[in-house]
Amino acid sequence: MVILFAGSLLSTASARADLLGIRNAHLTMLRVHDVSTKFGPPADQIDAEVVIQVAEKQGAFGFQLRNDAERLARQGMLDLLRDAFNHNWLVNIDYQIEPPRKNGIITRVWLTKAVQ
Amino acid sequence: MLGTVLWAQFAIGQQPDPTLHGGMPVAADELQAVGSVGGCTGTLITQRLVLTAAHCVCSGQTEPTGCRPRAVFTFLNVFPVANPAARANVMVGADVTVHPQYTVGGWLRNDYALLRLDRRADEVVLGVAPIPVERPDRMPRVGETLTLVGLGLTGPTCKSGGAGKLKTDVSVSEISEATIVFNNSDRHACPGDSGGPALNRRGNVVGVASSSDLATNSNYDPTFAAYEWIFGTGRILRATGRLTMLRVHDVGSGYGPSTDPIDGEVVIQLENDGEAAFGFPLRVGAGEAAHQRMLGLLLDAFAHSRTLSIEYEVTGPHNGRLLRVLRVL
Repeated sequence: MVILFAGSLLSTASARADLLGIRNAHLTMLRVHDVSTKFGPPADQIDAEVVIQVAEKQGAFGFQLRNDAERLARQGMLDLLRDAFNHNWLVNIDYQIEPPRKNGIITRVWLTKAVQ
Repeated sequence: MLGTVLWAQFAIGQQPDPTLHGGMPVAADELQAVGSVGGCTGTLITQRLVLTAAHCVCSGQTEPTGCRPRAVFTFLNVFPVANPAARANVMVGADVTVHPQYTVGGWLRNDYALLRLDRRADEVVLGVAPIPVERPDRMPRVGETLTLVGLGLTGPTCKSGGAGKLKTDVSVSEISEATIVFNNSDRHACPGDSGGPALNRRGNVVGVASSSDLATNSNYDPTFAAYEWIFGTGRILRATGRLTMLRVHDVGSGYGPSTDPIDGEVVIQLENDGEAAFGFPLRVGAGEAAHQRMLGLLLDAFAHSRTLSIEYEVTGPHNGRLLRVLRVL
């Protein structure tokens, strides 16, 4: 586990976040909503427009989808998640989270496939 | 600078059994990627490649003559995969490639050679970790302390027998495209150290031992000057296969080790290409429309397990910048 100072990526004033990962997880929820409507209870809220949940891990994980410098990468990340959801593929994500919160911010999404 | 002292210089691998004067013993589990190339030293820089000095595999020092097509690299005092219960030396045959500009421009110029091992290192040695070559934009500076590692003779004038694998820290006196110069009478290279690495603080290779006056002066050829040749960077290559990995991440978070980074947001891996990864940016700007469609092709190919071809520019030991995605019937 790598400890990062990444307060600016999170929605609260706290400056400490853990960078964690989830591997080979089943998507159980994929949601996209209006900018800034956020997700989660006030004490564990993520300022994100794309939100997922997986069967293997409690909590929700999301990222922003806005007209900013990250727009294309985030659209690509959403494309991957949408395909994974449609095909029931396992997904891998890295995310940042402030303990003891359950909801985190996704930074990377990837899919793997064993070729026979 | 080298030219002014040629008369007093010695190629430090030319003697058959010729360590590093002022060196400290290297622990058995440390720097296992540094091994022996005949009477010289070499460094495993990827699982397949060993970097050493050209004069270790060529008899000529003013012209590229007498170069052997084959060599043996020996891992020293390691745990063999074939018999992991006890430490032993493990020898691996290799094809030799000498730098095409060896001796062009003077004695021992471009003193680099690569050994391509017949087998991957991790197939024959347990837990061996290659020592990466530093990126060419991180060249050492005058005054910077580097760690020299070698298997050569010892003593103030290199008259004492070798003491195994030694290392010593020395600060850079001069640096140019041709050589990294160390002037230190207490710590210098000796015969047998040739081909051995100079490592920076990050533990990456920045130089290859070439010559010494056996008293004060040690000359190492800088890897930044040979990086393109070592890894073939800049070449455009094609690869074909099905996708085994498709990743998209936040802008600028990158992929790969610091010595082999991919500056892009989309990263793929193909079957049959081992550790290699290929990527391209997905950012707002001139290339955004093309890059989005390239990702679209990749998404389709991944979803349907279709074979595709890619063309990429080699940017490092394993990874490349993905330029084109092709689907062909």
